[in-house]
Amino acid sequence: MRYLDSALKVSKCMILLSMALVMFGCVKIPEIKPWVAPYERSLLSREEMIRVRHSHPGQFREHVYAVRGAAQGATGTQGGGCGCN
Amino acid sequence: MESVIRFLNVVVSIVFLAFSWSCFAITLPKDKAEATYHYYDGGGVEVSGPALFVRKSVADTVSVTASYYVDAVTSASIDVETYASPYEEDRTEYSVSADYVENDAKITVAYVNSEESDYESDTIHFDYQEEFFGGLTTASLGYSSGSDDVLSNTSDFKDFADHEFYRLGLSQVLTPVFLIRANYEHVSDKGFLGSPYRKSVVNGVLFDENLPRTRRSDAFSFGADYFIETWSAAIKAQYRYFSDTWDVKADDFRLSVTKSLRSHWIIEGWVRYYGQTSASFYQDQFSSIFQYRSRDKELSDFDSYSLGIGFEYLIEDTDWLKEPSFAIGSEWIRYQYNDFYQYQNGDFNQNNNKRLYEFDATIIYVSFSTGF
Amino acid sequence: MKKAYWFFILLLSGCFVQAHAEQQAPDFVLKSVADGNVRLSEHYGEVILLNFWATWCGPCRKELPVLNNLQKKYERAGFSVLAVSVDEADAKVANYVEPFKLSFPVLLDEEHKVVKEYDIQAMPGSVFLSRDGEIKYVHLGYKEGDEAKYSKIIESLLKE
Repeated sequence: MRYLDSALKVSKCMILLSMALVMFGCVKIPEIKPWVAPYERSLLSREEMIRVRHSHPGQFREHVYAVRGAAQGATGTQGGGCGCN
Repeated sequence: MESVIRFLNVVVSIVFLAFSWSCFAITLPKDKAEATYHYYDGGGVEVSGPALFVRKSVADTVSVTASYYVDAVTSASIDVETYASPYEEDRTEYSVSADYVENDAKITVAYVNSEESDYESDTIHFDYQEEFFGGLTTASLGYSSGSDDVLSNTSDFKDFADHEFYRLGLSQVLTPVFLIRANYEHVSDKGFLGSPYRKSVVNGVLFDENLPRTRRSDAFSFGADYFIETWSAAIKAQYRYFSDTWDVKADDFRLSVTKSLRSHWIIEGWVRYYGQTSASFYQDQFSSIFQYRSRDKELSDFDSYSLGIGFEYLIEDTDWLKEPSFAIGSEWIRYQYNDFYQYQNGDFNQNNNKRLYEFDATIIYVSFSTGF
Repeated sequence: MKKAYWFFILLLSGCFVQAHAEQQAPDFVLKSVADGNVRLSEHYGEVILLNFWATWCGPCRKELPVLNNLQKKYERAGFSVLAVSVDEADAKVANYVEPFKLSFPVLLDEEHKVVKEYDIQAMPGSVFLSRDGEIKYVHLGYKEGDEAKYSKIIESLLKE
């Protein structure tokens, strides 16, 4: 138990020391910078790529697929229940 | 002085993600109004109706949505033709929802109520979405709970059906023109999961169907969206695999191409293949009375193929309307059953005069949508 | 131990500061939508709001009228907005901005040279420069109500 206490104390000091080192720029955290910069996202915002503007047509098609088959789920749209037999 | 500067540098780069409120942090969904007319005709069933939808932001960080949807159903389906009478029915669905956005996260809560003369359903949905890595990664979690009352127009029948849905989703931007998506959904159903009208057939005789009172299912889907700059076209593909405790396994492939034509027009074409294997207790005709039995063709082994086309016309902004547009589209679907038969004159003893059932269905929609 | 905790507290307080280390803003020359070129250093002596935006960015579109109002409000005190569009070459930025009746220069950074130099990490990105061309504040993104923050920053820079 005593060992646990001192182990915790040491690790606390280590963590704070490394934070201090990082803050002073002595050690750099590898930063995951977005590899597609925000100003490079014009094509992803194109009309053709936007997933959907008219929401109901897609939802209705999804509803038909779900009613006319046994599978449901994992399509990104949800609705309510119905007695659609 | 230099160390303070370096310190500030590190602080700014560490916290920018947490404090960005930008195009690629999650933004509140745009204000929108939409009116659609939808139509389905297939296998003797006709469904049509309007759908109206309005979304408005009510504060910097909150937007609310209300929608109204009606299905007017006229059914003379094969089951109806065989052992029931054609019917007409209206199903009305109301839903309200709210989105709350804070930094890179969005919480959505929704309530949906659906009513028809023999079925009432209340469902609530909770969804949480968060963006990471400068908006390149979006992760989402969702939970829904539905509570249904199952009734009958032809008897005093009353029972319940409860549903729980658990969702996980991830989407990742890989390059300036390519993103991929993965989704998982688990559904758990309890209660009366069949139809009080549908019959199973045992040795040529009609019996009520009897389905298990529980069902659990898992569905996984993977998708990719790719933009081809030289064609001004986006290609989107998706595959979904479904499997449940009733032994049904289904595959679903979709491919669509969306292209802009000139200014103002966008055309979309898509194909879909869906195939499923039958539930363990499905049979077209049973040789004896099994505890669980169903002749629901939607639980049988079948394939379906669709082909669809849609057009969107983008209208110029006006004083009141932002990005208004019209959309019209149609999908043709062929259903081919591998173990569900159509019997001549509806006589189940006619084993020599039966053929595998198949039918074509058409979906048509016309929609107007605008921001404001 | 105590010193370590003090550093930790400093780190947390850093979370509430949107200041940027003071450095000289990199100079540049960009084409303007209204014929001609604009050089950043030509505007030294004024407080500058360098705004990076694009036609395909929703919040950017909402921000343009706000920037127009700021321009009109502080122009006489020696303030200017320079809006830098990062749209691709065929985006027809001139047609896009025409209805907004903007009273500040709209510049074209089609090759993303300048936005990269300023290391803008979100769209829109607003860089506030002092009269001697030093980067004083960077504000990423735009939501309703930010104009009050912008006004505060501009007024404090005008006083310097």
